[in-house]
Amino acid sequence: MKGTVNKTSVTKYMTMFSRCTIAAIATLVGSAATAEYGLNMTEGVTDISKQVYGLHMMVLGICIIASIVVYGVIVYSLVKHRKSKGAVAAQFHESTTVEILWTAVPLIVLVLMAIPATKTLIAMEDSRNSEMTVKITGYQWKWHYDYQGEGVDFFSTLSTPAAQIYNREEKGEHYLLEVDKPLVIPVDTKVRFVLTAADVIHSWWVPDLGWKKDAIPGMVNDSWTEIIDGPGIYRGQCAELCGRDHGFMPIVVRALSKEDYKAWLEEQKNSI
Amino acid sequence: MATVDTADHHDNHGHDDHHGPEPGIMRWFKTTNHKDLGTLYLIFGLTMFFIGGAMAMIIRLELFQPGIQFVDPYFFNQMTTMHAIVMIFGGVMPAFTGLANWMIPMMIGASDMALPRINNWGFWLLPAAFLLFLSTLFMSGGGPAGGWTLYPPLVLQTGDAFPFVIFSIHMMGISSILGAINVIATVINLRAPGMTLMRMPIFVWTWLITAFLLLLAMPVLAGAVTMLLTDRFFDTTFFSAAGGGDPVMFQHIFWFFGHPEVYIIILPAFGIVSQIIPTFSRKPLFGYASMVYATASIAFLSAIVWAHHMFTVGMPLAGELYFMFATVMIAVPTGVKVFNWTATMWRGSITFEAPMLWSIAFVILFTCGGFSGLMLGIGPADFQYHDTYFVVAHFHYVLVTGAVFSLMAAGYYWMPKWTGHMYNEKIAKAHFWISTISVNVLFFPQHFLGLAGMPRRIPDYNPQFAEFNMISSIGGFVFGISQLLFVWCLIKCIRGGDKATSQVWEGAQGLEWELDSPPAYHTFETPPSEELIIKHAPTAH
Amino acid sequence: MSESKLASQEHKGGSEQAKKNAPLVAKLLIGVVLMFGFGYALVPLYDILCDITGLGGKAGNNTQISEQEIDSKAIDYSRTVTVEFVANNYMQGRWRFEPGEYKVEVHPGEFTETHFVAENLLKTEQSVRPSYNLAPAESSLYFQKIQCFCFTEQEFEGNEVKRMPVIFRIKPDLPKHISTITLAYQLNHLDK
Repeated sequence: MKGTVNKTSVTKYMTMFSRCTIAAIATLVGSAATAEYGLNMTEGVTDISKQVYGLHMMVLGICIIASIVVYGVIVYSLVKHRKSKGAVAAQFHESTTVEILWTAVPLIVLVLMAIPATKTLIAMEDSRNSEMTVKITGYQWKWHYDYQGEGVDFFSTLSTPAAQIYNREEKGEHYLLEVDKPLVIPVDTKVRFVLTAADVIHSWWVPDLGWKKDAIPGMVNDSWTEIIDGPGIYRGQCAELCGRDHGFMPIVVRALSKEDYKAWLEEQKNSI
Repeated sequence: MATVDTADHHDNHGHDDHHGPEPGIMRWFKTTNHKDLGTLYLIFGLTMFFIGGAMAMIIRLELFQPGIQFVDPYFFNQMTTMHAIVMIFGGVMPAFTGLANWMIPMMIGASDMALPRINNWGFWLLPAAFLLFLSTLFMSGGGPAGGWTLYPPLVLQTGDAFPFVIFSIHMMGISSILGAINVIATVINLRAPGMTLMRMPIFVWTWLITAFLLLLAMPVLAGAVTMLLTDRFFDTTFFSAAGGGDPVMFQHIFWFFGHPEVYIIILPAFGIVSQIIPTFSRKPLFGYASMVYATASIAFLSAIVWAHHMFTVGMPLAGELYFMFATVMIAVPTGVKVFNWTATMWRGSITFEAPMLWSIAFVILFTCGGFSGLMLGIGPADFQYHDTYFVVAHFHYVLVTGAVFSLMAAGYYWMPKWTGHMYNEKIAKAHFWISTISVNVLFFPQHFLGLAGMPRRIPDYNPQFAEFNMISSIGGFVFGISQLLFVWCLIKCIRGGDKATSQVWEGAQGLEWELDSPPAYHTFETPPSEELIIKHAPTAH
Repeated sequence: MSESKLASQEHKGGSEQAKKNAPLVAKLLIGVVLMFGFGYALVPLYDILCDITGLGGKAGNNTQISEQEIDSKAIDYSRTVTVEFVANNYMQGRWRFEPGEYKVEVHPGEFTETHFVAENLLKTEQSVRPSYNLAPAESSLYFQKIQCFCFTEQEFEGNEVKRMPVIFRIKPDLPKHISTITLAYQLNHLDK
């Protein structure tokens, strides 16, 4: 975990669970494998994505604890109460007390789980005070980015050569996750997106930003992000089946420092 | 034991259709007998299971390594689409209807289903529907490739196959509706005197509730696909923004069908497992009444949570909160069921014949699918999980290790009753262990793939996903091939084997175990006595 | 009901069962027909739901408000809301379609006029039906239009350029968590 993040109370509350669960998974699978193959959801580079990660780890932790209890009882039963060990069947088939108990306890756990989830959901929908807007349009099969009010717009298409896809060349590191012109946005800036599509429904997803949103023809959706972990390149893919080349319309976000972004934008304006 | 149905052999009713089955192949086309139709449904379901499975093998073959090796991406999309429809509407649902046909009359002491001719029609619609559906693969433009959810506008890009796909879905829907009406009429009207609702086996209860869900959901699907058809051919604009419609509305209508559909597939599975676990624990089902209420509440909740499949379409905050809360609430009655099965096994006297093994695996692995379902229900986290392999892993845990495993359990549980022979326990156990291990090798890594960022329905992927895809594919091939063991075991069992008693399993409860193995062609022409019903009632211990 | 007739034929000899089956099956079939109808009823119900919840960002779509209906004194000068304009056009060679301005700052309650520009790039006559929606969807509950070119089908002569005005107002009770609204118009081609 990166220490520079200003954690909200929600994330703090969830970190405890996260640590336990990471430890559990690491022991299960071996920490080397965890690092190498990407077993878990990314923490991402925004406050929202970190909250989502925390929620994910919290629920995963609750599920693991619950499954240890349930599976433990089942396995105990299977070992101890088998006929070959001479077990004689009891004949009880009702107990109002335990039935109330195992209805009420999960209910309480669910309510406790829903509280941080609600907080995160409210934070996700709060697009106040955004500093710039980018319109994203999905096409079969490429993305179009339009910097609202700046006069800068371009298509972003897969740049992996066909030779790699059809196995005539060795595949590169960013095979199928590379484009000719990435979306460039500044860091530490609240960027609002409006999404729509030209033909069929697409879905714009960069895991490091913590969300995906459908791009639907005939209407606009909105969402926002604020990258707080510094400049970098973040990759994603179209997530809603959109026809033959659905698997071949990646998304690349290049996050620049505010100054570099300004310089980039000027360059774009001048090159038109 | 087999005293009840001996009366049937004396033809003293004056009806001319009370003899054995008609000789020759025409028996199967003309039959109105619930046992014959049950067999037909089960064989049809098994056939479709292998056809849909072959499609899954093509999918896993293409995903074995990164790069495009075997099939065109568009054909890949046809495979994912058709695999789903074939498995759901052709494999699992007909198999459950087959079990309903075979078992419900025998369980409630009825002589047949209430509407035998409609029963015949309902079945024979299915082969016609699926011949038509599968033939679309050879039409110009190929078969449907827009996903089984048929979202417009993508689905409207389907080639010549489009109207045929819609028509075949209509036929599948009519078949399901007829089956559901038949189950309801049978359970409501044909129960033997003394067979009160709360004396019915839990399998009958779950199927009754399923049948009502079918009547609720299938006509809505029929309406939705009809709207697609008129949008494409008759200039309506239900789902086209250009004409004042809304493509998102299709998703709402579809999932109003689609979510109950999920429970249509799992409720009978709950029923089966609730029959089998008490048998091999030699102990009555824990909390029979709460099982019935839990089933009913799951069915009710299933009709009001549909939009959790569409958190990412952009709903107002209030909508997202409502659907999140309602969705996670389903964990409560589902939890009650799992706890009840666990309590049934607790302090039992357990043996591990094949049906019990499949049922235990069901409880454990279905619960795993339930947990990932709970995770998916958390709205903000779903913004990450949605449309990834995490979802694929989730619904295969509930549908394969849930519904399909329950069908395997049911197959082995009642096979001695149907054929009159004990199946080969060694083959059955080999089938179980190979399947259970390989199915986890197949689907468990898909959780990791999804979390690491692999979207579903893609034919090719970044090499970072290569290892888990290869492991998953190997598990898939082993799981696919190991299902042939079931066919081998089934054929062996039909041909011969140790003679099965009428009781078959030591701890089995239920009227079907009073009948011969195999039962006579017509059973319970004379309803069973009330004492017998009470003796077998789930609550009478 | 031909089906119920069928059902009654199932048991020859007029058994008790058949008499019980027919009405039950008839009821169930009526249920099926009603549910099929319900599928279609979901279409208007969905529009009502959209109007109530703002789902889809098109609440009050195509309803024109007259100026008299509005209390124009209720302007909240303490708040400023940014309204951005988006023009969606997927018939690139046939139409040019742009907002007249990229965004405006408005106070909730006041009337604002803006316009979009559409140009028919073909030499022949074309007509379009504009549609619009708002993002975030919730904001559509607080958005009122006094004049809008989306109310009518727009006919264009060959190469005609039209300046199409929109007069709108944000209701003063707009929730605090919304400070930016996107008003997006789509041009939908009408095939004749």
